[in-house]
Amino acid sequence: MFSNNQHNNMAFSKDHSRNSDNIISMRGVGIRYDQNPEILSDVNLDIQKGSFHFLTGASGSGKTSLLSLMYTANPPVRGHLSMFGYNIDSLNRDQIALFKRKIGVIFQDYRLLDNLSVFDNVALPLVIAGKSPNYIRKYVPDLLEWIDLKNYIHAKPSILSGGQKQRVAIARALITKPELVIADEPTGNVDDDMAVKLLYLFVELNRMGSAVIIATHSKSLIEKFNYPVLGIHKRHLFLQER
Amino acid sequence: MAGNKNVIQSRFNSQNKKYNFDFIIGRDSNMLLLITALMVFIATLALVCVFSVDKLFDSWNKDLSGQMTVQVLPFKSNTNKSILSKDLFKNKVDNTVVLLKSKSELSSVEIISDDKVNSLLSPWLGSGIENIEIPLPILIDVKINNSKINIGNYDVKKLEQELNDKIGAINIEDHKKWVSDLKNVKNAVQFLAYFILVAIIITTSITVMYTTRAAFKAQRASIEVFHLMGAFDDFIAKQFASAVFKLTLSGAFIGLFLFGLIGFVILFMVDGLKGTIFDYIQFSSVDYATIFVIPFISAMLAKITARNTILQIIGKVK
Repeated sequence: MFSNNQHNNMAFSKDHSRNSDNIISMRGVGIRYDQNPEILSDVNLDIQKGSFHFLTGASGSGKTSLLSLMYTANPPVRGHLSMFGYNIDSLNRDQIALFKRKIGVIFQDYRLLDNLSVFDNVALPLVIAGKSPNYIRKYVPDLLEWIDLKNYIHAKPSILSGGQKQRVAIARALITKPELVIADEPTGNVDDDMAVKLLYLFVELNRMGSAVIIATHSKSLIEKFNYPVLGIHKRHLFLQER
Repeated sequence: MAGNKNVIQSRFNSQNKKYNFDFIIGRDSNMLLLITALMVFIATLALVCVFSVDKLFDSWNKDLSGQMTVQVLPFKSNTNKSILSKDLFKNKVDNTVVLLKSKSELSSVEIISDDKVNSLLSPWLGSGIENIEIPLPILIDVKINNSKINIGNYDVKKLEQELNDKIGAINIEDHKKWVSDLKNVKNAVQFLAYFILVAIIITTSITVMYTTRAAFKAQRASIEVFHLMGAFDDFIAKQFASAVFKLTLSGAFIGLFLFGLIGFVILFMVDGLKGTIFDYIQFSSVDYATIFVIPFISAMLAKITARNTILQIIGKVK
């Protein structure tokens, strides 16, 4: 078992060939499921600290697959993937778990735990990281106030609206102050006004130093917020010109 | 705003300090609870049987070891079965006692009184047998002096031969065979009880394994969320183990409570059976402590099984 201190001292195989400012670095990466053809081929990508990107593409183009690669849920079938300067292939499960704690993920379907209250859902990453109850009591209420869910702390997710669930999911992703925030269609289930409000949350987070990648179909949001856009077309990832 | 924060904090304070992921064990928990209760009930019964048989054997062994009963028959000899007159029979008994008392290996030689013999025979022959003219043997209770000789080494056959040579028509019952038979029964009962205990452990472990596997399958989405947030495999296994521990501990105490309740009722019912084998069964505080430890041992076994099952599943799916 690794503690955070052990993590700092661990002899991970640091990938010195990559820029140390890169949180994610992919070279010639291919993604596929089972023996099916590749969904994405030859992906070359650098996500730098403090950057902000939109990710767009048609339905089924491979956005979610690319994101799952970024939060290490799936490994690449070929190519080279570095996370926080470390070659992902050289890490064991516990080491990868430690890296996952630096990433906040928001899913389109929220993936909240229905058996836990809003408070407990948001506190979950801190519990997993081994934070003390005092620490949890200190930070979770503040974040719940920030996302305007202070009146729902005891509520179970099942009674919340789509927008409220999305905010809980966002709070859960942000509670550990992650270095990278990955959001898959975070505005897919909310109205336009709420979508803009949620986007401002991510912008605020980015200003505090986290890199942000948001997968979205919403052209209006992409146009409203002037950030670089990664597009997927015919199994290839490219940086769209603005 | 500060007030609201206090409400939030007090709510969290009112919760367990440790995060509770017991939901992870899912709907199959009721079945596990019931099975654990039943298994602990049977395990306790088996253990109580082991203790009881042990106590019974110890008690009888203590009473019978080093003891023998010399039976002076009212005949002239083993070959001449004509009945002796009262005087001759009394002489024969006196001579037997004198001979036995002359043996330094024997510490006590006592004729069993007629009253005691009558009370021993009354279940078969009924009351008032003292008035019936039946040529009954005289019984002499003899104890071996264990400070002079090892009880196991004392040659009873030799003594019996000597008594028959010098006096005639005398049998000796040394109880060794009874003790040996009793020991065989005790060993058989204990083997059966231990076999039941092992069967219970295996059954409970298999139940825990299947329940844990089913729960893992049912909670796969939650487990995926744990993993995405950076949970170690061991953290997830511990949550299952903790939930199973609490559940099986509750079930085990229910089983123990039911056993206690039924045991109390049985003891109440047999209270009128004084003078039966129940008199020999007296549990020590160590015995009670051992019985009380059963729920904890069961829960610990279940916890270890659940943890290993989860680690095994995760190891296969990674």
